[in-house]
Amino acid sequence: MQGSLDSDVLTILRETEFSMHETGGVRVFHNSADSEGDQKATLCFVKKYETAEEAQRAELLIDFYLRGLEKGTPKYATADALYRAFTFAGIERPRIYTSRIQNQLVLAIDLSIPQGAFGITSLEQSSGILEELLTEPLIRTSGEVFAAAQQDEINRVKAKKEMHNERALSLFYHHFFPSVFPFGEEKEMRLISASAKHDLSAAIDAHISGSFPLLFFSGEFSVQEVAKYLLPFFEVYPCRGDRSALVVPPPLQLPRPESSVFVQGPSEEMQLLRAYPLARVPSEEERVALEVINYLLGVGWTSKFYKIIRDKHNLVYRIRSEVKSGSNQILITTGHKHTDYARIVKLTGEIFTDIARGNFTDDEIQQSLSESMVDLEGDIDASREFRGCNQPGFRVTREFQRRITGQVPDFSLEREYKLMANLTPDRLREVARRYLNPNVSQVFTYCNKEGS
Amino acid sequence: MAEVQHRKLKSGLNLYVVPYNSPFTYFQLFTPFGGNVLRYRDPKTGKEVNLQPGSAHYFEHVLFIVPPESYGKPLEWATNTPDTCPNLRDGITLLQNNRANDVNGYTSTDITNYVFMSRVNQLENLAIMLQYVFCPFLPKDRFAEEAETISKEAGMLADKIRRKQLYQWAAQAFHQHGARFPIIGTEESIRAISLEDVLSMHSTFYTPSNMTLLVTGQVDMDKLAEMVQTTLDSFGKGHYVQPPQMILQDEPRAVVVPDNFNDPIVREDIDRPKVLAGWKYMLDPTIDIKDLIRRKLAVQFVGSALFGNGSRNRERLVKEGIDDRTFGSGASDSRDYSDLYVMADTDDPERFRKLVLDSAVQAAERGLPAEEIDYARLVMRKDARAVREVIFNFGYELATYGVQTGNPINYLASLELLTQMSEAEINALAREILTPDSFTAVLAVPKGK
Repeated sequence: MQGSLDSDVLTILRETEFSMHETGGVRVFHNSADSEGDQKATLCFVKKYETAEEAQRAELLIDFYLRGLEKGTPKYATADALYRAFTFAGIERPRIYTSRIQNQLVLAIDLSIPQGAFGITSLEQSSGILEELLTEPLIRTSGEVFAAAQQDEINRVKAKKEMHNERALSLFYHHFFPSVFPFGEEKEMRLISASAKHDLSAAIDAHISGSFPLLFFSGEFSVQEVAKYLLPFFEVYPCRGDRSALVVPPPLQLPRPESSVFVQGPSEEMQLLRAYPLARVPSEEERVALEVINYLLGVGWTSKFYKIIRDKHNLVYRIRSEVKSGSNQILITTGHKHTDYARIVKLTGEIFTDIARGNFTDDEIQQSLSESMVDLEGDIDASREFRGCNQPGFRVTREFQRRITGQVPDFSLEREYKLMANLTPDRLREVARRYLNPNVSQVFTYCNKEGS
Repeated sequence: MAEVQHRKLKSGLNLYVVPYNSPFTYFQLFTPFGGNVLRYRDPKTGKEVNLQPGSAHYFEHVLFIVPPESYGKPLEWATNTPDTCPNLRDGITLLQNNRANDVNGYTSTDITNYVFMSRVNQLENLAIMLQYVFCPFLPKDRFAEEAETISKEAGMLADKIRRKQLYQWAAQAFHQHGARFPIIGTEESIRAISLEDVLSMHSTFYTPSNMTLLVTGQVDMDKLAEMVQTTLDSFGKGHYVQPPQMILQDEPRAVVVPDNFNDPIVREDIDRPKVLAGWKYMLDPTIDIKDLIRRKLAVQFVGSALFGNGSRNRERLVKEGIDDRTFGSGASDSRDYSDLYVMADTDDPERFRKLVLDSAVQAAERGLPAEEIDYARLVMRKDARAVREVIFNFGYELATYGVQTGNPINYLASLELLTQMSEAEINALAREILTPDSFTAVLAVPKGK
């Protein structure tokens, strides 16, 4: 039993492919899209640092700086004035953020550009605002603005305890990968409190000047129009980095598991994370097989975790597993009553062991394979909104994940679809047995009470 | 945009097809039975029936249950409630097995909506959804077990401080309206919901004449209508049944209490005091539809002009000391009310409240400046454009207008009204919306501080 190839699916997946161009020192990935709604572009500045600690330090200072941009510029002296200016220009306020994989740090600017002549006008009107925002923000020059931004950062770190599952994940990574996530909350607080405005400027300037620039675009603009309307942004920021910055670091390895780790925190619901390191690093093709196996394990309503732990035993409302290629593990996350801790650990272990030994029926894995193939056609974003593969936002995100962060395999959706179609239940069992080791796992919990 | 199509089947089910340029088509089957409905009039007996808080949501959970294939097809399409049944299936799995791209259901204040996104097998998938929505299969033991899962969901939600404040706000704002309870219910009410209640709810609220099938995308209306009517006939539900009569909730305009400052929520997981505050604006859903829509839009205008990002008033409030980082606002609405709320972290809750209320009183007395109304209009049009970009969001707005005004296409009408509403009209409505006695504030403080 194998997945079948659907020519319509192949057609729509082919339409998601990007062409690559080198223009004016910028690597441009271009895709033509015809859909309702805005065109999307992401401008990226990618830099490799000597160590992950340096990269995280830069990340924290740059994020501080980026949030400080909200305080305004000489011409638009408040967050509201800036927002108003972008609104009058007809464009969504660009999202500017960082993304880090170990010692590789990306500074990214997401633009949402209306279609047609209105889009070109909006882009032209907003480019001046964006340039001023990036080159002359008040956080660079005003001590008063810096102090206010610094207090905001301190409050932000203190407020992390409100977001229970995010905090648990962050604590997990800090605990088990300290060389890559050396800044826990205390150290982050010290960095913020001790920094001065020139530290922020120095961090972002050094990042940009040492980075390699890329642009991802999906929409109606031709390659020439992208060069005309978007590449000028890069002219303002001289980048001297090289392509070596684009090489995704090799995956991390979870250290030898210790007994389960409990961190006390003000969450009534126990946040449980259980990590199963993969026995070895999979090839790109085998990553695809592992994703299919993971569907059966813990993706959505049809997965074993949902069927058994939620539906049969009513122990949780949400539970999922993910293949984390960056840390070469399968990570299970859920929330539950602390009194159900032992049962959750037992059941997740039993289910994982079954899957790891290939104890699933052909029908079960065929169902997962079919779902995996259908899910190539679109994704569900963080707001629980479905985005089809026809949408520029879907395409740019995926290409970014492919080319920079390595969160998806380094080939096209069409190729991924064909690989899935060739998978058989026996091949999937073989992959499960080769990569999933049920005897090695790490449990981590976060709650106001220990599990019982 | 190509023309929207509407058809009403002999069962009374309303079908809408809204064209949308996408390889995917979004199907929504909804009933105006949401968390706010705690009283209704039984169309058969004429008697008023009371429901437990959380009933609509509980029902949404269990409606996905489908009997095993071995149970026989076609069933006696009356509701089936065996004591137990092995090898149950569920509608979500069936749809995902048939290449649906996204399947879900949700319950809000005035709607329960069963949805799926599909690029292929569209009518087949619709047939699956029609089965599980119109033909409940509720083994008694499985029904009872769902209370545990819902209880977990409630616990997960209550663990988030903002959600807790929203629940408290509703309890302070509403005297007798169903909105005073969380949509999910309370720990006690979830466990008090009985199978008999649920069966009665289904025959009342899930009768086709009370429901709408809204399709956003590309589908042939003739084929759709024929398929749906034939399927309903096979269930024994193809004929018209009088829908229930909603009971107007007679909720007073004023809130119950102005605040909880003397008895705040105390939490370990916050570092600074947090205030969530807002206005309740009661609406009469029986007025002219365009008037109703204007009132709902007015709430958005007022919210955007006074407290939205980029508004001059917001800018002034931040200069006066409201915490910029956490200062947020929003508006939401249901069939018979809208609300407008603001929130922020603050070391001086009284001052926060005073600043917010004073700016509202001033706006009500002097009117919002024309420039700010124009700005709000620009923001709302920008947001509408963003909604249209995503088929899911576009469909959501259509469905919302469907339950609140009786016709999803009124969402498109609202976009025109948004452009037409005058400064005078908006300011007249602002005076109705921003009354101090319809305002209440919820304070949460850190434990031990």
